[in-house]
Amino acid sequence: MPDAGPPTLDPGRPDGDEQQPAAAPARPSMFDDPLVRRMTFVAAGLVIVFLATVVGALVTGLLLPSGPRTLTEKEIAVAGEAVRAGSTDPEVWGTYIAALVDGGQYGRARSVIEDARRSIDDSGTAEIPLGEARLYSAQGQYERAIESVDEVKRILEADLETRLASGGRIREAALLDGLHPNYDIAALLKAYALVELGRHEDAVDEFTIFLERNRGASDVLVDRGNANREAGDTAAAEADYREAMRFIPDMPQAVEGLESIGVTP
Amino acid sequence: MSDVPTPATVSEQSTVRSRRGRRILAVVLVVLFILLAFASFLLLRLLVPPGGPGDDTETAGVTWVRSIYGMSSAIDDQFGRTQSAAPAPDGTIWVTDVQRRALMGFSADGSYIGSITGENDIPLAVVGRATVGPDGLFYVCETNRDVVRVIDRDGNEVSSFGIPSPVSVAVSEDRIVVGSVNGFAILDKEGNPLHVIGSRGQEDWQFDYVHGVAIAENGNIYVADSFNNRLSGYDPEGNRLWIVRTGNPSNQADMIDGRLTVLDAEDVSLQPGETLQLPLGLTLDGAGRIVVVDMFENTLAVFSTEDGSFIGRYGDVGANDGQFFYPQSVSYDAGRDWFLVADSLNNRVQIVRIPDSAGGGDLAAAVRRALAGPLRACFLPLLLLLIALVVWLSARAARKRREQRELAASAQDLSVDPAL
Repeated sequence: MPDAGPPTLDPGRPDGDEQQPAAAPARPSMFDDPLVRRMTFVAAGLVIVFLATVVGALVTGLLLPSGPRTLTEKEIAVAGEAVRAGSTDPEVWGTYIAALVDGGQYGRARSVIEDARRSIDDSGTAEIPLGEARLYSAQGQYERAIESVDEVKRILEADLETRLASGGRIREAALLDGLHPNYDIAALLKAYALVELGRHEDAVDEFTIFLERNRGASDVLVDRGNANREAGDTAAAEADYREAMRFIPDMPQAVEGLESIGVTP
Repeated sequence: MSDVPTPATVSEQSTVRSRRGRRILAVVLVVLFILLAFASFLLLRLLVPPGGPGDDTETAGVTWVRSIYGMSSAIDDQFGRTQSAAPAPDGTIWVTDVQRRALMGFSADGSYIGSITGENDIPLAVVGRATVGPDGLFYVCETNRDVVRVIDRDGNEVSSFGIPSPVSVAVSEDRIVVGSVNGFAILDKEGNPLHVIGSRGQEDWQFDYVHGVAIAENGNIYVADSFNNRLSGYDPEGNRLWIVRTGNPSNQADMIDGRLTVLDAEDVSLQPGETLQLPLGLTLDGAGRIVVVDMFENTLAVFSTEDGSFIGRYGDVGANDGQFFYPQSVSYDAGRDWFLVADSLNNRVQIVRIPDSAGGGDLAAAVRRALAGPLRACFLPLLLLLIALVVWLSARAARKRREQRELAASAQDLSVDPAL
């Protein structure tokens, strides 16, 4: 076959144009979409701002350890250190649990309660169920808080009976001391739980238990007055408010209570 | 059949990729928000301590900023009964308590920075009240040793001067005022006495423990005569300007019905409910008012420097943050518009604010307060956001100008070439 020779240009096409197939359009990228681009910028910006905050906290020394900054933090720190040092004093454990609950560290409080049950003898103080009652109350589980309080009462009543039955000086001391102070605290916790559950008459009984050995607690007197008012006993409520004002004249909460039942302070 | 994508196909692909891209980015953004929210929560938990005044904590007008309980979380590093807390010109806080023979230093955010114990051969002993002068030097009352010591930041003694039973000290640019059991003394910066005012007693010109002294910018001096329960003001030369009886004096009591009862004074100038029980430490705030701590009322009482008239009272008794229990002293940090209170029986120092104390410096003080707290971590990201905003606005403005130029050029081309 003779050589066909070089290809000739199409005379209708301008010089210099190569004869090639039509150029394929560029494959689209999702970043061509302006909204996608903006969303990408926002995402990147969020990460940068957060990292800058962390860097700022590190550079300015905010994340360095420091001493306690609030009462709760101090109680957690001091009691926690005593517990970690191996203290078997139930009151130390109880203070630690209470501080954790006050600080909102419920998970840690639960863990410490479990550790305490395994580690210490609590038969004389009932700190562990009391701590549990605090925890349940803080979490809004009032029925379970009441169950824990009842356990506290059983333990302390049993302890008192045992000491009274011992005779001698132990009996004499038990007669002097009576029930452990945690009994009153438990009663108070139960009273507030009952108020939350709307059981005001039962709450009055528990407030009364607390006030028997804490007669000057004006704030609790007002709380009992409020419970009496809600239970419909306005006479008892007035008596409570006025008793509170005997200790703190013109106590605002007591004055407010009296006004709420239509009595002139 | 050609494999070359047609414009219509490209357009479809673009739409599909765009939708897919949006879905992916939306999911990424949601996950990112959740992760960042969780991480921010953890960071906040680290920066903001648990506790503080609750909604039911009565603070009677006191705004709690933060408390300082000790040098670290260790039991042995917690404060004993705090005696004084003084701000330095650089914003650091210097604390004395009954347990340690030292000045303990803290940054404005409450972090421990170190202690000053004096020189090795003459360490500080039974440190009482202390203050920091405008020169940055520490002026320390050692009551039992009848001396006021001046110490620098390195613990070196710069000078000392003998004063019988010094219990309070205030320092200005050119004066030192020392309160003692018997009255108060005005000294120059070298410790040379210029004026000695008073003797011990209950008469009008006498004093019984000057637990609080302060020097105003104009050189006037204000004094809390604690057991006589009086406040008084003096000019720079020690001439009395005014004196007021702020309550029944604790040093006048009698046995009544078997109980030791403080006698009623006839010249009390305050109304019932305004009277003080035991005025101790005293300071001047940014509004030029006298702020005195009342130990037994557990409050901060505010008086006018003009005539000692009562302005207001703030604070309540309690153990919660924001409350006081037998506070001993108060000092004022003008840079941050806050007060440092040695809350003695709560074994802490509290940083608090009361209304109207700034005296016109609100904004600058607010910025310094923010930089002293956890918010300073946000300074860098806020700066970056600001820069990003400026860059975005600039780019947007430049793009608009470019579009307008192109539009104008295009319109010009059209008008020039009618064939187009």
